[in-house]
Amino acid sequence: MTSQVQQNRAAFAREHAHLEHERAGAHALMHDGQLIKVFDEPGDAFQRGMADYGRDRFSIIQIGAKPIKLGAAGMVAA
Amino acid sequence: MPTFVKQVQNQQIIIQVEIHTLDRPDDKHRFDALVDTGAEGTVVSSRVVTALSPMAIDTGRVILADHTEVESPIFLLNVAVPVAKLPGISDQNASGPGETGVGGTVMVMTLPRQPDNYDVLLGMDLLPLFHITLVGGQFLMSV
Repeated sequence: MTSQVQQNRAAFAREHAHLEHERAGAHALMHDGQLIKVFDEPGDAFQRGMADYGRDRFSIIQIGAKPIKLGAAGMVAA
Repeated sequence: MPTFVKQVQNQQIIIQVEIHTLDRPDDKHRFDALVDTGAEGTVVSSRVVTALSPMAIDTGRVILADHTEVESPIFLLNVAVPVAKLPGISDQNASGPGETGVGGTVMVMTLPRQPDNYDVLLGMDLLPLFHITLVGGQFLMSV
C-alpha cells in the first residue's frame, strides 16, 4: 500500500468528514494529504491524478463508500 | 443485439471478461469470471493484480459470505464482457469477428484467497448493464 493512500485517508477523515453528507458517492482526488478536487467519475479523478502527480503519487477516495457484500457465492475467511 | 450462451455447470456461471488498467488501455488481459448477482460489487483475485499491476487508489472493506470483514486495496479497472458480433446466438463470449465489449470502469477490491476456477467475481456494479436470461440450464447474456 502506498504511503499516499494512508496519508490521504487520515487527512480526509480528519478534515473532510463533512463531505460524507454533502458529496456522498463522489470521488475525492487527494495528494500529499490535501484534497485537490471532487469528481463525479473516478476515471476523471484518475486521469487528473496521473497527469498532475504520476503513478502512486495520489489517491482517490469514494466519499461515503460502505464495505461491499459478496453474498452467498462469496468465499469465507480462511 | 450480440448474444452468447453458456451452460450452467455446478450451479455456477463462468464467462470471460477482459480487463485493463486506465493508464495502460492496450494491455488487456482475459480472465474467467463468476457471474454473481448476490455480490454488490466486482472483486478480483490476486492473479489479476499480479498480471495487471494496477495502482492502488485507496483501501476498503469486503464482507465475505460468513460475514467476516477483510481489508483490501482498491483498484480502478476497466472490466468488459467481450462478445462476438455474430448473427444469432454465439456459443462463446471470448472471441470472434467484429468482437465488441461492454462494461465500464469500476472500483474493485481483491478476494482474500485464490478461487479454484475463476479470477473475477462479476457483481452488481456491472451486471445491470446486460440483458440476462436463465432457462433450461443455460445462461444467455446480451450486450
